[in-house]
Amino acid sequence: MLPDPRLFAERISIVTGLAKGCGKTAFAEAICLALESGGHGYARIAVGVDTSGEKPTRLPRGTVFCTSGAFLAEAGCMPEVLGELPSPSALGRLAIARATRPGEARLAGPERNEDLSYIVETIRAEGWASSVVVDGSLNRITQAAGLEGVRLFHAARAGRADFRSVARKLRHVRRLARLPAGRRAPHADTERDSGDSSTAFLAGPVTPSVLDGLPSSVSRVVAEDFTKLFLDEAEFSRYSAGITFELGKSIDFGGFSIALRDIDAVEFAAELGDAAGDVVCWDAYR
Amino acid sequence: MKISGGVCSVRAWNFARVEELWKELDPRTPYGKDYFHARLVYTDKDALREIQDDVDCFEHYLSGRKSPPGPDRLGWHLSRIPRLPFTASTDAESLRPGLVDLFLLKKFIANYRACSSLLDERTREHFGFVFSSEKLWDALKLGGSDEESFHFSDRYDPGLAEVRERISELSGRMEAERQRAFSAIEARWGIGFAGRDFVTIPMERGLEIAASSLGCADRDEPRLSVETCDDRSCTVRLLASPAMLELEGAREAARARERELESDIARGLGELAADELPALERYRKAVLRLDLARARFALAARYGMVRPSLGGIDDGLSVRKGAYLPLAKDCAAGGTEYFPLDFSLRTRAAVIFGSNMGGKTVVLRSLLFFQILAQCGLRVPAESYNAPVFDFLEYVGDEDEKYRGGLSSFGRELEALGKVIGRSGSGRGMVCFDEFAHTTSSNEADALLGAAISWFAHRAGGMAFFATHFKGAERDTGAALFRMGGLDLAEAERLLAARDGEVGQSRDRGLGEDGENRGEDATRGCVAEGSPDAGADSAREAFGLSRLRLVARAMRYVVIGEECRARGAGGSDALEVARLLGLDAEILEDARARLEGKGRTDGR
Repeated sequence: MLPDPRLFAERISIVTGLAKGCGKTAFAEAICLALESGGHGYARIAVGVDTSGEKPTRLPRGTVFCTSGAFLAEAGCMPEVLGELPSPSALGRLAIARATRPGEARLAGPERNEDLSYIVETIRAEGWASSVVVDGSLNRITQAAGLEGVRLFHAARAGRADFRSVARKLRHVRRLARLPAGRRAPHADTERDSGDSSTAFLAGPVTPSVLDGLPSSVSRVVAEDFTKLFLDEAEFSRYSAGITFELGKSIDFGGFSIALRDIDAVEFAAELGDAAGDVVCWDAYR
Repeated sequence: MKISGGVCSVRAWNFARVEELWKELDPRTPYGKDYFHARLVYTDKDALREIQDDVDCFEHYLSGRKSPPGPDRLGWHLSRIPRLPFTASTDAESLRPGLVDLFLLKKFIANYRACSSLLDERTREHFGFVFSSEKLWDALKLGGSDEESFHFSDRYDPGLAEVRERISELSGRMEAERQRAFSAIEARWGIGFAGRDFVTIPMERGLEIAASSLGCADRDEPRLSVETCDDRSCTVRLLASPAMLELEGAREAARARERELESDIARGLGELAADELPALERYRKAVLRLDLARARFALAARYGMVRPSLGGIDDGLSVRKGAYLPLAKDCAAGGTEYFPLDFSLRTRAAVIFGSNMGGKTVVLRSLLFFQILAQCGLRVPAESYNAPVFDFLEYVGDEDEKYRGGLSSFGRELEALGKVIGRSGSGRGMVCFDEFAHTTSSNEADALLGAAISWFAHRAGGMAFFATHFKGAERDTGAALFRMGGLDLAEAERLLAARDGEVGQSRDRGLGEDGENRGEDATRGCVAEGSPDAGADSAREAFGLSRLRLVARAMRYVVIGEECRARGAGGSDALEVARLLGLDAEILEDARARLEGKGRTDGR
């Protein structure tokens, strides 16, 4: 069943996932279909080359997309080039184009977070599309941090063999996303609040080695946003015994898309507990 | 960091802190950004004059506008200019532009023309904004929904419109066929695809569909492929019907024809572009000149910078009220006064003596800063700046360990000196020596320094500036001697007394005196009490500063030239500065005695 298009309209939605085959691209496709069924135009951006299938991506007329010059020549959607990424990427020159008729195109997008931000901001600023769907990279939720006003979705696949560990990971993502946010460092470039030795404002990734290097007086750590917390569930629990974690900036967490194998939704939802309330799509192809 | 042209060393660039101003330069075009990253330092006086003429012209253009241009439309159009897909060296014969190339070409020309339309006749002529590629532009305009987008429009070829109509008709029939199939599936099996290529359904339903398909003889009934997904579900996918396959084949043929026609159009546009390659190169150069003139002018306007007067080596070097911006900003941030620099030199070498903390090094940094800016084609933050154009700009002195490559400071200095002397054989350089040879024994350093200064004063074709304590520079080197104004002892005593008095009052109030932070806290406490007494405010301000900063405040940061030779270079204020900074009295007394030749003999 397709998700509710209102979750994605007039905003930037980025889909990341835990592992290969987690249903990330399927969910991005479901978002696009939902937007289309709701009468919303959109831009669709993939990070890297879309290798989800042999077939190119089907694009309704008016869809804005990003691809390489070579793929444009083969596109069946009669693309009109609107913009370009100023710096060359690993895939060659990347262009922002619009489908001027329904058709297909192979998508190719920027690998670097700053290039992704440039493309998404350009699409929005130029008014080419107000809803943007980004099929993000696996395990690179940091991509979301560079996009202003983004809503982050997380895709996961769970089967009989791993559903408990997947549920644990999703509960952990939810817990990080819901940490208290809004505490600002005294200065933008200050790593630690010199005025209060119990609070450490950490710029960049927060890892166990960073935390181990903090003075013992630190009892509160403020990360830039939850995507910078590189702590697994066990590590987070261990450090949480002595440290209160907070976030400088809140990133809108949209919820989970779950693809299930050999297990039904009721059983998995029970394992998720409260996090089940954040599931926005149970199998985009069901 | 890259500095192009081989004129200015990274050492000199860093010593003068040029990067801090350079990063404020804001060119908008990709070509301007290339220039920004290249950090090109010029030696061609004519090229520098043309650059400064460009800035003058841009300034004149802005001043001639009746009303402010509002949002910077010129800057906006410059920022939308992309890099051209072809260069002057592109082989015109083999030019086969793709869709993105044509888009870039169109967007470039659209914004070039928009910039041109915003300029007055004089400015257009000065920068060379003359457009002569109407045929190419008219052809590019046919493709795209506006001036900045491009696609192979039907307007290029009636055949293209025909084939696209065919594609559209076939696509419509395919979509109708698909929808008919989906409707039939939904009616028969209750499965809604909702635009998806496949769906997953419960295993038992999948088995049911698979079983029914085995005996299916109805040619019109849509066929489904069923695959096992897991132990409880199947994946169901619509299989193309014969009618659908026929339509798809016909559409593919039409698509192939469409690609052929598009390729022909691209080839035609490529031929037009090939004819215009020389013109496109002219446009590129005009855009770059305008972009850089705009960026240079914006920087000059921000800091009140002036056009440097670039003369010959015999005209000397002089600066009036020169503002060394990196330091001026530091001073503003620290709440201390910055003293602009007045300096003039007509000989080939200058030696600057002065107190510790007296500002000798800052003079070197300032002069190098002004000269690098001038040779980058920037304006100079001063009331006036006159200088020759040098073939190279160099700094010799202390460097970060990372630049020393494991050599000792002295060894690195001598190596640098050797290089500079070697380079001076074929070109005129501006070389700044900061405390040259200060790491070796004073007698030898004195001699070495004197000899080096003499060499630069008589043998080198450029100009050399030495900041030093050593007196060897005073003796028959042929260099002009300067000294820094130095310490105003009475002012230093007064400031420190005011501070000490405030410390005493604070101690009486129990505010403490042990350390600067507590001092500052105490000062804030006093202010919070709201005393209106201006004198007390001044004292509190003084109290908040460290002794070091107070001594710095009592320095006279002026360069004294003419009378310096007559009076001798003058002594350093090192011992007075040490006393004011609170050096142990016993050590100080011993130092004075040693200075006067009555060194202590008690072994301490």
